[in-house]
Amino acid sequence: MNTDAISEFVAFLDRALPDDYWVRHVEYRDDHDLRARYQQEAFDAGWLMPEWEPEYGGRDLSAADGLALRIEGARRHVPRLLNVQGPGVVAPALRTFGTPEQKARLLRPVLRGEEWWALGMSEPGSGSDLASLRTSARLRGDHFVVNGQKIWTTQAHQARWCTLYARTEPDAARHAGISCLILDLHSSGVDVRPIGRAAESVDEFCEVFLDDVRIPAGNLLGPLHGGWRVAIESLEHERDMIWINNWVDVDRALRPVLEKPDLDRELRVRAGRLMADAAAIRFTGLRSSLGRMAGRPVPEFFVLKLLGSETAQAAAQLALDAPGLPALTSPELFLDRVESLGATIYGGTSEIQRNIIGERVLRLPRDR
Amino acid sequence: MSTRGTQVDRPLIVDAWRDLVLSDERRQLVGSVRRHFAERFPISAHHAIVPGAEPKSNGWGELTAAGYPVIGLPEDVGGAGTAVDLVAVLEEAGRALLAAPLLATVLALHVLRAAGLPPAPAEQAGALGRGRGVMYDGRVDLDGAYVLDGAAAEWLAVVIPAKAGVIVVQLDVSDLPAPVVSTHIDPARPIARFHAGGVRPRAATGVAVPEDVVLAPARVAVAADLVGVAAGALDRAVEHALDREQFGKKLGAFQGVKHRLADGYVAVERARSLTRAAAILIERPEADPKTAARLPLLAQAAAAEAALRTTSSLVQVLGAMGMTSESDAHLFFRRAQQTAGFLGSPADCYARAAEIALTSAGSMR
Repeated sequence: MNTDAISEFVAFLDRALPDDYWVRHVEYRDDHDLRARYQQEAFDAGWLMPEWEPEYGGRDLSAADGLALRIEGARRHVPRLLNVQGPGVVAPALRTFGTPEQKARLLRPVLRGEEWWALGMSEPGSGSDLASLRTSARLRGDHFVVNGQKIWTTQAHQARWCTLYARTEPDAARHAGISCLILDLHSSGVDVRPIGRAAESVDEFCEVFLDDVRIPAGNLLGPLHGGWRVAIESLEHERDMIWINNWVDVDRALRPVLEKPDLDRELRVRAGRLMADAAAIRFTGLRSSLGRMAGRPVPEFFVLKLLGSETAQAAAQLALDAPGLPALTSPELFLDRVESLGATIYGGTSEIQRNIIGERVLRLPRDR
Repeated sequence: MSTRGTQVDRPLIVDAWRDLVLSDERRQLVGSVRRHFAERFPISAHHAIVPGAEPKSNGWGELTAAGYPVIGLPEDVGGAGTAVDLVAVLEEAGRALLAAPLLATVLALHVLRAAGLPPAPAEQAGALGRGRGVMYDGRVDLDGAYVLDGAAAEWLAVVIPAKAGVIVVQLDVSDLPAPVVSTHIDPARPIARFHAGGVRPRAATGVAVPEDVVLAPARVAVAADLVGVAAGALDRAVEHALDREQFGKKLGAFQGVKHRLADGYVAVERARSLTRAAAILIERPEADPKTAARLPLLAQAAAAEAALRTTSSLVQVLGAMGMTSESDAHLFFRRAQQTAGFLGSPADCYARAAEIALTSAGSMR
């Protein structure tokens, strides 16, 4: 373990964050300037993707050191990224699948948060069943011509780019005919319309209409008709580390509950169960990360999304229930609860997660 | 060093948790224990154990010869290996529904140790009792102590509630009247109820000790056994779902069945992670003192929930077959039901863990 790296990281945090950050980190969640500045400084100092090679802004840290740093950062409540799917999903996909030109043009701005990204996945008829998507992209010489519609696309109205999943081979089997294209959302024929949110704590969604949009052939990310793997691998990368935030978030939601000395038996039992869930997220996450480093199969990894999201919801509900009547006049608790509803939907619903566990881990047959 | 940093625990160094993944050596241990149990203690032997009948030879000598009961005890009392080894072995014992008093003896040995009492002779089968009693003039009265797997025990460690904690006594069974033995739930791990009047214990704690401390290693051991029971039940349910067809499809293709089994898998891995982490912290609490204080409770509760859930799922997935004595399903169900609540229900454990956190809330991270 490279404790020097941790000390250096901690020293960086002390420089980059305000002196009262530790005590006021909850209020700082609304300070978007701080969050944007933090991301830039973290990238510039090599702390955003510390396991990556220096050429992409990393420090070549070992997987174990990178994990230790991320845990340290989460426990110190480092500011959350404003466009989290950029560095969390798109950047790893660019690093794995991108051409040298794509990496040179796109990696730095996405990691610094200068250019935001949307994930062009869901369509009106294709939610959980992503492989049924119908947006089409026809290769015409040196460009694709794209027609179709995306929906529930987070932050598309603020994003410059979109990883657009489109059908490039209409005759191929469902998964085999999809490609991932890098769409400049400023292109002509793109119409982005925000959708009203269920509550202000929910991420902003958009509809994205695509009418004869031309995308240069050089913006293909990964192999032609090979977009399914890009989608799966980039989402899995996000799940690698998301458990750290889940664990810390549940811990944080429980803290005010556990400061009430008159907590009744039912609430104590619920709080205790959530303490177990938080610890189970932590130790299952560590187990699967350490197992992977040791070259072992890690089937337990597949419980993390399901356990993490369901626990986040239960914790938000407990935080809302514990105060009794005063919760009815305290908007934050309800807004947190509404926000938590999405956790079991995005990135694969809980039902899809159970299918994944049933089929990939327990080897049960598919029914679809 | 940062001023803010001083407020953060340092239990975060990844190296401290290496043992969450079984080492190659430990995997070999698990493999050989699994083969040993399968050959010498097959689950089929349970079918010969009928409620009410006297237990036959329980294979105890073979287990002591293999050194299982003293795994995780210090070398100066004849022990070997670590708490992580112990939970790995006990998980196999749980999976095999071991019909021998390994868990019982381990529980009793670790309670003695946690209470600061001298160890019992390693070759003797022991068991842990819980119940009301009083100590006076170096003697003890027991008002019906419940002893898990106590019918074959030669000695007992009994935990008796006292003012501000518990007292622990070690008793020689030959000093006690014969117990009343209940076999209606899990005849291969019977409950023995011991009464005693004015018995001189082999050893006793002089003053009350905190129950959380005394029971912590025992809770982790119970958790390991129950993780094994849960995993064994889940394996059998999955096997059946892959084998049996209805409506022209394998049962496991139906989401109602698939999702039930997936939830069982989550419950098993949740409990297994907590149990392994708790074992690590038993020996190195300084790696994360706050978590160390509550994790035995949380691991036990999670393992009990996993075992109760998956063993009942096993019966349900098997359908009518699960309600017959021809399947092993009822054996798993019996084992889970009898063992899960012995050291307190999951709800009791969760509530207690929250209380520990409440009392330290002012000093929480």
